[in-house]
Amino acid sequence: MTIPNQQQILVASEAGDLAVAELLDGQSLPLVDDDQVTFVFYGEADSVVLRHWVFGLPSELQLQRAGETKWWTLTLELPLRSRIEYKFAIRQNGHEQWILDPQNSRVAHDPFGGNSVIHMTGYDEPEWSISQQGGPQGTLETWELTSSALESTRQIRVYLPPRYRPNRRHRLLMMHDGDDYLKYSRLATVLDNLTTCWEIPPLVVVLLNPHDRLREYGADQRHAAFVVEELLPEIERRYPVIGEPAGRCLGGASFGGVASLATAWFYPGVFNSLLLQSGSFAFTDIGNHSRGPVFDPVVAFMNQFRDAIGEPAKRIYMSCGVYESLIYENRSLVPLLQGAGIQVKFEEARDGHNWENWRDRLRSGLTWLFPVPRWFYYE
Amino acid sequence: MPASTSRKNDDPQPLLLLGEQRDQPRLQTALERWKISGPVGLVAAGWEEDENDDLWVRDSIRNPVINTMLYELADELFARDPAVLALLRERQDHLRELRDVYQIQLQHFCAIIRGLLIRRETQRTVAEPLDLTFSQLRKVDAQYLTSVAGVIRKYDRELSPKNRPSIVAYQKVVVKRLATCQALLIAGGHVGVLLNRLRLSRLLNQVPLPTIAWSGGAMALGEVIFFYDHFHPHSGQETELSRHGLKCYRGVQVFPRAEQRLDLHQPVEMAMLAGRIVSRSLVMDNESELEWSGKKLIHAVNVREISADGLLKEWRP
Repeated sequence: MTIPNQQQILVASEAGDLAVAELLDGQSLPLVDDDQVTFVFYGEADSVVLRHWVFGLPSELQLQRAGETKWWTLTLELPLRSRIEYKFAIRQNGHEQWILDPQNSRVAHDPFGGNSVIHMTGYDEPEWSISQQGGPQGTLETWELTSSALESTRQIRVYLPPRYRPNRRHRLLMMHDGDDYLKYSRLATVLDNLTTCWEIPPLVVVLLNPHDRLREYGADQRHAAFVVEELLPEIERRYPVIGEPAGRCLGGASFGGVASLATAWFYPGVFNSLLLQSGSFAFTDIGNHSRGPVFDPVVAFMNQFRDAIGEPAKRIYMSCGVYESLIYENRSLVPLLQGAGIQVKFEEARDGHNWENWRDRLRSGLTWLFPVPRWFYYE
Repeated sequence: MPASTSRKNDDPQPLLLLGEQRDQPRLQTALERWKISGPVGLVAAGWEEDENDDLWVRDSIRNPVINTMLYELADELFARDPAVLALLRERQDHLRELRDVYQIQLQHFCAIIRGLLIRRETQRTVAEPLDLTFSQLRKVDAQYLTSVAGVIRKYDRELSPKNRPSIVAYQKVVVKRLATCQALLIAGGHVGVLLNRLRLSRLLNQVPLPTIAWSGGAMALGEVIFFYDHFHPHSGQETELSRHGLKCYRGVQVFPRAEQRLDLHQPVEMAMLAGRIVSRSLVMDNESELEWSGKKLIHAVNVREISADGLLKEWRP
């Protein structure tokens, strides 16, 4: 089926709403044709604006009304293999309402709700992130731990993999924002699939969840003390994990990346490896930053860290979307870490600061950090 | 083919290699063809702690199955005689050092060959340099194989598996377990672990039986073992030689799980593989079979050969 373009929509609109509807009948919306995407909205509005999370594009992109119809369109050129999240802002009678694209069934969820999603040509949702019917599944256990460092009781969730054997020592992965990783990045499914096809060894995965996220994950020493001095010994008491740095990895995304890096820096020699996704590694060379007060402790930490990196870990996997403002901070960190003798794998994706970007990089990150039984296994 | 009742070590036993079995097992058909109705021994040591996860084998054949539990028995041996485990770990460290150097060599030679193969169609001057580089890579492979064999021999001398009481006791338990068996089934799994347990137990020498081996099991019984995975998440992992296998068959190099492991539609990658291997390179999938009677390869089903130009063609012996 030929994919119509914006010009054809405008021409059809001269014959009215129905003619546009007929032109678009059977098409998957938005219209994606190689590196062109045409957004289409139908409805009453004074204006329609594309709200997106692509750093580098103008933040407000107006859709154009197709003649006298209720159809609105906008064509953009976007790189192949991109994955973009967006909403429409509908302005009418002085009010503005942000909505999902009603014609696009593809939605990505996050703690703030959801966004519509475009998959540009060449992007495919990874098969290993999709639940396999009847495939082996790990199990989740939940228990509580009272923390002196955080002066509160925390709910701890632990993922035990397929092929979990109490008589075998497992590698340990501790993930910040663990429940969000489960819910929005399908972490359990990814772990099930990668474990089942021998791409990673069976991992015990501890899922950390904050109470006051921006404070606790903003390079807070109390959080680090909780993780290393309270939670880690309890995990090693309860589960058969390799109780050595070589068996431990700490990870997270965004502020969770900061929390991971800061914890490893406050307690060097505890974690051999880190998984840092779109870390909020804001820093200043001189003067003040402009990211708002929640970043004050982060910037203070990162400035300190960049001055004296030490050896927070031996191997670090980093990923970041090229449509995030944080791409520059992440890129600039790589040579510093490498210069300190740390083995770094850094990957960029044509995606933004979101949970599906982090999901899509998990295979690469986990298989690099936890190499590689599959090479030797032939079923 | 009837089951052999002979236990002489030099009697060549019938051998059948199969592709992956777990999803669509063909073991029953093979056993019927050989008219074997009695107990069969199972080696699943490649699955390590999961070697007793053998219900699917038991369900797929009518013969009684005796699981040798080679992996578990070896763990018991290591507990009784920790020096064996210490020597094997030391050997592993030594082999790892060799492998590190080998992989550096591989990266460079494979990059050159890949570059030349890509130009082969359009540049007439490529043929000679390509032959030369393939020949150098085969030398690198051969040298690595010799070094690995040397290390294994050195540690074998120290381990002395034919005379060390703890290892001899281990071997005797295995022989006893297989006393009533009419055939041997060898499953896949971790090929290195499987090969180590088979060598330590000397099972194939001590209890020669008609054997059906699949996937990683089939690899362990060959002349040399290659590890391969074109779909490895981190590019740069080149197909690598591991070590000599048990040499139960010769003249062909089998690549089980081909659909999952090899980029069969990329002639450059497939030509890279075939060009390194002196034997015939044969890809095996779920329904593939290769059968030997004694030393003679007599039967092949759904087996494809990788040609020098990287294309696949049906193969018959």
